Amino acid sequence: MITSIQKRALHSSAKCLVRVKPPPLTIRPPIAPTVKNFEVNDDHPLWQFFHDKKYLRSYEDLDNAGRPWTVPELRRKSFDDLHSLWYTCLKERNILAREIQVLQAEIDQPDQQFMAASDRVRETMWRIRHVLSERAHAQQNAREVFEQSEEELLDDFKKYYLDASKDEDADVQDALKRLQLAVFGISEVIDENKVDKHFIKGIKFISNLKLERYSSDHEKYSELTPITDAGEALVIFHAEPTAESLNESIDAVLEMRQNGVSVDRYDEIETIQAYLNKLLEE
Amino acid sequence: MKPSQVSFFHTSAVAQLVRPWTKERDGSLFYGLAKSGTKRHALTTKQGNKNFYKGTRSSGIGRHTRKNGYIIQWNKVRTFVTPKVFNDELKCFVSPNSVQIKNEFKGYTGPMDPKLYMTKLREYIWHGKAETEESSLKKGYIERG
Amino acid sequence: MSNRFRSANWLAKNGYAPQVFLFRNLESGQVLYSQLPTFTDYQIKTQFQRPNWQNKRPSLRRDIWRLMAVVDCDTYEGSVKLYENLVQLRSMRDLTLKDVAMRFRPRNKDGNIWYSAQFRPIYTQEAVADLATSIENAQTKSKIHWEDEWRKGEMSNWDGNLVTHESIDRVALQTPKALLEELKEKAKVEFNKLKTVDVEEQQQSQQTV
Repeated sequence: MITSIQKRALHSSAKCLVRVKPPPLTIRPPIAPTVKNFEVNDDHPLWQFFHDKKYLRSYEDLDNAGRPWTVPELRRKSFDDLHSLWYTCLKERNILAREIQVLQAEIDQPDQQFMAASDRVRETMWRIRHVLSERAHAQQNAREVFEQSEEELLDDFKKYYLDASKDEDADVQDALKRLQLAVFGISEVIDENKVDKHFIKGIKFISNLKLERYSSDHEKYSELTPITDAGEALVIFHAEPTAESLNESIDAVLEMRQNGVSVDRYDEIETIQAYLNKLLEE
Repeated sequence: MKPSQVSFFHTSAVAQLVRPWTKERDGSLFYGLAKSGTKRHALTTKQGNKNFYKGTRSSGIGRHTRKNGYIIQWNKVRTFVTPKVFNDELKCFVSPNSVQIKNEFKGYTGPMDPKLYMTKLREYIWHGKAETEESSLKKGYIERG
Repeated sequence: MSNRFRSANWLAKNGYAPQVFLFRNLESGQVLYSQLPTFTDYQIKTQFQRPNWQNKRPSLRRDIWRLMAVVDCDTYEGSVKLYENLVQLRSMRDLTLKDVAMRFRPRNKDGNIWYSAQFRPIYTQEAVADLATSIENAQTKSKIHWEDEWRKGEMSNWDGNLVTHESIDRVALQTPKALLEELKEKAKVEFNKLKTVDVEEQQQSQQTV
């Protein structure tokens, strides 16, 4: 048998109509804030100050065995590699500095093992700077003696370039590209170039070289060479390294001469720069 | 001229200049454990007189205006140039088992020798990035440099 | 304006929304409750009745008070009740149940409560606990706009049927006056919506009867 009270309890309206007695007003323990209430993006920039998103590494996680990079190892690396390694080291030192700071609160002194790791990273960093300064000094020293040895270098290259057989054409062209970049600072990419006296000297040298290799049997060859006009040099410099292409450019140069088009020796740099700028705009 | 005091002749000139000047009777120092110790450190930002300003290299990027403003001069603001092509394969430590390369610079004075630079230039022009006989690694650890 | 206690009628008549405001002192971490989006000496006098060296009566300096939370209630009576509860709980913590409140404060292994000069993070945490208690006691449905959601703590502390949480836009926080104005307008719109729904329900029930 169901009592009346039980009946009322089963009724659905009983729950709605029942007067909720509010809890008494009294103090409760303080509510501490938690980090669970918000999400942090995985790519948040401050994560760069944490190793593996860990608050603190254990001593085992720390790379105790690794040694810093040595100078001979760094000498083999390119500038971009050294630049990257520098930033990798910098980030690692930031992480270590943060961890040392955290540990300092507990043990009242900088932690020896973390400090040692930081010092080892620092060693790599000063070696990177050492290698870079070494390179800069070597370049400076070489520049001083380059004036004497430039002639010799270019002569050697000329010999190599002209003596090469037709099968070696691709190798020779690659070498020429490296030469123009290393000696005259002429890049393959147009907008990386800045026209200066080395640039002008370079295009003149290379155009003469190309003509000699590919078009020395052209009827007007002896009349044409050596090229001394920067405008003419640029036309031949642009030509593909094939006999037909160079013969075409020779015709163009002859036409220029007939029309009296020439670049004044005193404003070669400005004229060529203006021409390159025009090319870039197109 | 004032004569030197007689008591000064008991000790050597060097001993008189060494601090601390006072010792216990048995010869031990009246404070500290040793006389030596580094005293010549770089000054901190808090030391020095009123004319000594040592910043933290973190300010001075502009100038104050008369009306409480501050004009930032962007050429004075520090910029950090990061590598265009970041190579993240390089780590800050090298494995202890890896071979340590040794540069010998045979025939050259050292890494900054202009002759060596010219040799490398020639190698680059003729062979590109390919290794030559001279620049290769010998015996697994010796390199020209 | 907020220089005396405001009744529910007064709030409705003067164009205020049913809201309660919590301001946080940057220097000490103390929290100030207010019925209006402003505060005066009146609030400080009623809410810091027994100051001492570690719970100083805070100054009125505008620059060291920051908005901590804004509570939107469903009725004006509810908001008034909520405010009264908060003030009462504050007096309990400071006066009548001080020993209990002190026992609740977490201590380190040396038995000390953490502090730095005048700053005590415990004040903010106690205010959050009081807010939860007051809402449960007032039984008013409320929406809390948090300046920083970090402060609301574990969700188990809040009555899920009564309270909803929201966080305030970080950029909007830089212009508090405009922000409070905007929150007020939004709360009023919300309140009017609830009111019309209530009236319709009443009419329907009358028709059925």
